[in-house]
Amino acid sequence: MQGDEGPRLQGKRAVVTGAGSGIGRASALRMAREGADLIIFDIEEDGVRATAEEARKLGRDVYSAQLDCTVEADIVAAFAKAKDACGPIDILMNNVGQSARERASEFYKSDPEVWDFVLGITLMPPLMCSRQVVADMRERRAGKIVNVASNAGLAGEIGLTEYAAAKMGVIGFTRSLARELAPFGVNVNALCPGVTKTRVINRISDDIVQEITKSIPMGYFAEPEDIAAVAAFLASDDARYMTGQSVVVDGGRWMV
Amino acid sequence: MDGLSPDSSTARPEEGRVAVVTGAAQGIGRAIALKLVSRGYKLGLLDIDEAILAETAAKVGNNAVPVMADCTAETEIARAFGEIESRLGPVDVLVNNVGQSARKRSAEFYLSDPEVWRFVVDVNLRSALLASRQVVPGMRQRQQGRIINLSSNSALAGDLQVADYAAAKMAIIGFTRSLARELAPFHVTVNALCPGVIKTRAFDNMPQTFFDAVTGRIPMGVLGEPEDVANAAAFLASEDARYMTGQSLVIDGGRCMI
Repeated sequence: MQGDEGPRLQGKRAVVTGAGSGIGRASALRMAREGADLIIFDIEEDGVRATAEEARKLGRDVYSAQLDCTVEADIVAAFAKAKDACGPIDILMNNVGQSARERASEFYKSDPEVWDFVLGITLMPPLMCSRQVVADMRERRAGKIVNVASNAGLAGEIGLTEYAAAKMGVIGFTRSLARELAPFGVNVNALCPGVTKTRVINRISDDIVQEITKSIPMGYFAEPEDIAAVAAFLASDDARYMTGQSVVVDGGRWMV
Repeated sequence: MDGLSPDSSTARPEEGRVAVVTGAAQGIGRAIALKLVSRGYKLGLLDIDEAILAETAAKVGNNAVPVMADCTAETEIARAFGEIESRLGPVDVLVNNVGQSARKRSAEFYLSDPEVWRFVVDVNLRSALLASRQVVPGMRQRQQGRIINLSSNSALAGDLQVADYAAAKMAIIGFTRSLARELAPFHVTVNALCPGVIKTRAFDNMPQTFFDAVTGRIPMGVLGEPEDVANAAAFLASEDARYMTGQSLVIDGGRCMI
């Protein structure tokens, strides 16, 4: 809630993918705090259940399910079931996505199978999940789609070639879908987080953490809540005249 | 949590903060002032048009300090900020909104007049530098602050007859990014807003053919309202945007995508 107007997302139904931890969890809870009822998915059943319990404590109606967002048939079934149970979807936050992590490498020695994995989990899920809600949003002439891209796509990062490509793919998808849906009053925007304190950070050595910190003008990492706050803005009517944009939330590392 | 409460969605940390809006009497500036006062800010309002400024200040209410000032004149800006700070306290949020195209004097570049360029650059760019110069030392010292600069999607898209305006508004983006880097270590954020065509009095006397041509270029098919820009300004001013700096937010119904 931002002061004068009351909860911005009251009466809305928001889907967040990858809501079991990190940015997805923080965004689901932020939207719940702003009045949204939720449909949340994650491949990790315990995580998504914990987020659901927390959101229910806020008084929201929550539908949660385990879902692997790389499997199209599962996505189709999961969205159909959720819509049957909850009714139409007002907000979709496509948050699922990841780098190759342990298998990340410089491009000259990279493995095409790893590219396929990263594209499959980072670029394809936003397309597949959006496909499940766009027809309805178009018809109802209302809706918000928030795609999580990354500042790695904009800045380019050594060792993250395929991840940067996939995230730039998310931005291209965002812009095209924004143009397609603009006449129907549906907003599609991307969010580009910088380095955010999620479980991923625990896997990085202290030396590298220090090095990354030095590259951030503001001098610290984002909390998941910093990204969630911007997601809630884009999911609200406060941003109703913004579409096709990539909003960078990275402490000033990359400026668009 | 680095100062961000998990309940930032319901807390009102803005209550009592001081915001200054330049060019606040009408249009986008007025909408921003009204939005910020509804969020609990105290407001300093600058404008060159004293009568209309007084009307806006009355609408904003007891939390407004209106000061008539020509924002291109360094001495007037210094006097205005002196008065606002002495009455409200140090400035937490500065919205550099003043600006305009040359309007009736705008022309295609091959016919344009350098005198007009100077006016356009002064009122759009120099005004933002002058006002920022007043508040930046204090923000730096207090390790907090927000600067929000009004650019335009004309800068990004390029539009006929506004070469000087587009240049000045793109310069605002360069200023935003550099100042953002300078102030990031001090927790002061600096961002820009790039509105598209917004329903203000600048378009009051335009013929319908003009609106048809303009809306034809906007994917959403409608002009923006001043409140659409004001909502984004209020967002950038809030704790919700504390990790965003140096960015340009385009609010133009999908014409330019960045």
